Amino acid sequence: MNTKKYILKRIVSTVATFFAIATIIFFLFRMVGDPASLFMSPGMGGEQLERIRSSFGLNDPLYVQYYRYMVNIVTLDFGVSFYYQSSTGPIVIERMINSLFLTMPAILLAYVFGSIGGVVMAWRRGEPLERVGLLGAIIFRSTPRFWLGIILLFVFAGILGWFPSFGMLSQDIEFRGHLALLLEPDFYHHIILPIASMTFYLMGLPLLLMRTSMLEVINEDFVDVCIAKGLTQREVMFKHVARNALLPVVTAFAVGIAFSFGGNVLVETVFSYPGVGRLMVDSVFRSDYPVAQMSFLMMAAVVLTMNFLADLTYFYLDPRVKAE
Amino acid sequence: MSLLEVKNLDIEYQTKKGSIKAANDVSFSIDQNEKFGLVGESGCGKSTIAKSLLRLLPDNGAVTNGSIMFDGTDLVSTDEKTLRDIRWDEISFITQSAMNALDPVYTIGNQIVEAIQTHENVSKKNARNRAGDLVELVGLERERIDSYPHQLSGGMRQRAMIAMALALNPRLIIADEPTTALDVITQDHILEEINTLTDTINSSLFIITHDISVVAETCDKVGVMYGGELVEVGPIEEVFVNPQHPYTLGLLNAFPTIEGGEDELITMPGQPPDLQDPPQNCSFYERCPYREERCAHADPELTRRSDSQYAACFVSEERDIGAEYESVVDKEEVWLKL
Repeated sequence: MNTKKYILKRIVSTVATFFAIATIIFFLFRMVGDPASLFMSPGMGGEQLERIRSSFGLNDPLYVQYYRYMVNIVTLDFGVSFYYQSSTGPIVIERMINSLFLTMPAILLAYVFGSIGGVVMAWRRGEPLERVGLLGAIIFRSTPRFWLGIILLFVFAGILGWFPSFGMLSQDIEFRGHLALLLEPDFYHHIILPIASMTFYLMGLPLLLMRTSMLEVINEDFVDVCIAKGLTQREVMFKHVARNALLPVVTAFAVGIAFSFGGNVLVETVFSYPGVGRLMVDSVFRSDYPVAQMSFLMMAAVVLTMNFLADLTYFYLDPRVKAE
Repeated sequence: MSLLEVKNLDIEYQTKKGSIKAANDVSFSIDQNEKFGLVGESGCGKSTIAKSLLRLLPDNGAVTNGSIMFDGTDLVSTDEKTLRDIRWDEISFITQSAMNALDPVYTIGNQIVEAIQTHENVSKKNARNRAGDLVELVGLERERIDSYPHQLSGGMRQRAMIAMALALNPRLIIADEPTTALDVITQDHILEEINTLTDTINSSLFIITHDISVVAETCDKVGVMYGGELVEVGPIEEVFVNPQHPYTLGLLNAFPTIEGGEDELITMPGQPPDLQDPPQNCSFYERCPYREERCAHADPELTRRSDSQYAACFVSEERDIGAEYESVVDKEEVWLKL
């Protein structure tokens, strides 16, 4: 099969999956709670409740609501938040970018250092270095994320006082858009601890994966040929063995990015960081459909996009994929 | 002077069940432009010897005694750096399975370029040109340098491997079962290719195989291995015409000839010795139809039989086992009567 046809096929199936997920989300939300109750206060009559319901379109038949919902998704109109009483889009997008600022560096650091660590550990098989690394990876991997966060907070913010203990910016500094945020030293001061606690947790997986994958590749015949060619150990390990061992790590990376969106709810909560994970949890509790729906849809979109990109990377990493 | 001289080589593997002696006091030499074939059944230690020449033994394997002199350098004891310079530049290596010998994620061309650029200071473009020439030399189209290994057939891959082995005009090419994974027709072509191309670049050839007909077709000299020991070595016209070890006799009759003569194929019953607990007497004793009393108590050394033919057998020093064997009509019977 040629490359273009394959990519086209993957795009179609990605989009189809997205709409299937959108449908599930739609019905899921209509099965729990009545959002109109959010606006109820003691003394309100049934009439007023009805009015609220119809103003949000909640009285229309389900298929009408569904149709409207789908049209809105296609036109990227995610409605008005029941809770914030303003357009959903900017709210979710802002929080999402906040989250990205936390997740991206953490996951990149984790996978870069994790993979390199995995290569070194496979290379130094049986030496004390490997045992220490393995133990460390397993400890960080099995430590609950919030617990590691609390320890970091306790030591570095509490006892040592090197870092602030919560939020994204100090109280006296105003948020003036994400570009300004990136130029604000105070922001970096705040984000180091949450990034560190995520990085340590995330690093275990690529490290262990890379190590196992390397140990499989190391026994292949072509590795002998590479050594026989007169390459240095480092060249053999990084250019050949690691390059072949990278595939499962790439998959984990793509899935990891997607998952760390949902997973960082915990880190965001511990560090009181205004990310999309916290927003998602809050809006579910508030029965704030538009915000929750959009958050979930965005998450689905991220997961699907990352999977799609991982498939494309395979083309580059493993020429054999093209043949299938 | 010989190009490669292996002397008293012992190689052991450490396993959970104890150590395995894969090579026991093995000595042989290969001259400049000579083609040497090492033949023996699976597990006799022949691949181990091939790998030890380039120090490619797995972590649990080690040379415990002996030397491998290559043009004045002892490959057993020399430092990593010197060894790296010798690898591929002077000794290249064609491996057992054509399927997995090439890195699946790089093109053929890139892998040949890598070999060239590791040892010579040439531009990428230049090296690519040479890779193209090499690929053509082994009978592939020039465009194949941009193919990945999985896009080639087994035979084509082995050709690509040969092209890579020739890239630096090495003085010795080691070919470890170069044709085993291929079909019979391709086997023949590849063998011919290796044969003529080693002549073209004036290289010596060390070919490891279980197939004695491969040796017959290619080599000047043959070594026969059994149970980690070299039991017979010499020029092929002498070894094949006048074998001095009963195992060689058996091997010669165990393969069909290309001409398809009248001779029936003989199988030697029995198993090779357990290398974990190698016998103290002659290693072939258990399967030998000519064994005598003394063979049960002592281990024969290689002794000179003619100009340059050596064999490790007490019996053939006094009896002409070749003639005795020829005179028997039902040769199968010789092996079965044990």
